[in-house]
Amino acid sequence: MGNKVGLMCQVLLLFAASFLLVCSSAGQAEQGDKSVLQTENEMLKIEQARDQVLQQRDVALLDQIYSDQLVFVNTRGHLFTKAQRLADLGAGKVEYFSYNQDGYVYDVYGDTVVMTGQTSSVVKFQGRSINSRGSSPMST
Amino acid sequence: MQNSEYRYMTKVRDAALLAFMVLGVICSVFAQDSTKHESDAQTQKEILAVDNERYEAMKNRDMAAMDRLHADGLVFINTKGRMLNKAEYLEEVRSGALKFLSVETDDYHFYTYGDTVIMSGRAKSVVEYHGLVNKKPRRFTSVFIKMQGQWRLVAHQATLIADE
Repeated sequence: MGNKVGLMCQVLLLFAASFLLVCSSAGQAEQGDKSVLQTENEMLKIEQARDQVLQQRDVALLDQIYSDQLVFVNTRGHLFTKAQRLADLGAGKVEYFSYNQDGYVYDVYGDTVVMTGQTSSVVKFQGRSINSRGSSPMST
Repeated sequence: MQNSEYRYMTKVRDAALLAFMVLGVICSVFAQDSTKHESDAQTQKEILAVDNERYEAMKNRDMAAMDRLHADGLVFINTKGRMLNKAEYLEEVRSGALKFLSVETDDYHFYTYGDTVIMSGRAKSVVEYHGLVNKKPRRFTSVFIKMQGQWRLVAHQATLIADE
């Protein structure tokens, strides 16, 4: 009788422990999903702010958004640093008449986010108007 | 010892202590800086080695190595603006739709953010893609992340260089 009660207690304890483990894993997964979703929302906000700022040529705000180590490759395959990019925008060498993005895909790796999307824009680059469409990844 | 002499000696001792402390802080900052440069240089070597391994794997169609060197969430954008996931990219290599006939890269730039490295460079490699040979120079940007001790490519974009 005593052995049976002991065995029952052990089974109940095991069951309770398994239940807690499952709840904990489900809770962590939900927490993880929320955190990823929050990161994606943050990225989208920054990207939308960048879209606006580019069209307004607000160099001071762009300075805050861009990392000092920015790597910017334009559609002609030219590489620009942050200083070059801000100087070109400030001087009006690059002007965005329209800038639309969609089809965002996010890949979140801790503090790094790879964001991919499609851009269609009308840009004046060094006096020439360029209609461009393309895909681009971004990492922070 | 007279009071004035004692005070003078105390001041000298304090000044010497302060100088040692300042020297210690400067040395520590330089040591950290030097360690960071060494660590960045080491990381760059590792990334170049992984990228070379990737080219070798592509040339030899070594799919086990290709699987190991690319993250499951790979985003690969080729010069035509086509976005491929890992399965699609590996299938292009496996089937021979994408072949590297020669590999030539230069003008590397590295940006290290902990376990994330952004590598930018220029490629003049000759590539056969779906039967068409492409020799045009291109600028590429690759993002590598260290996962379980292995650097893996998580994103890559190549753009044709217009004026070269």
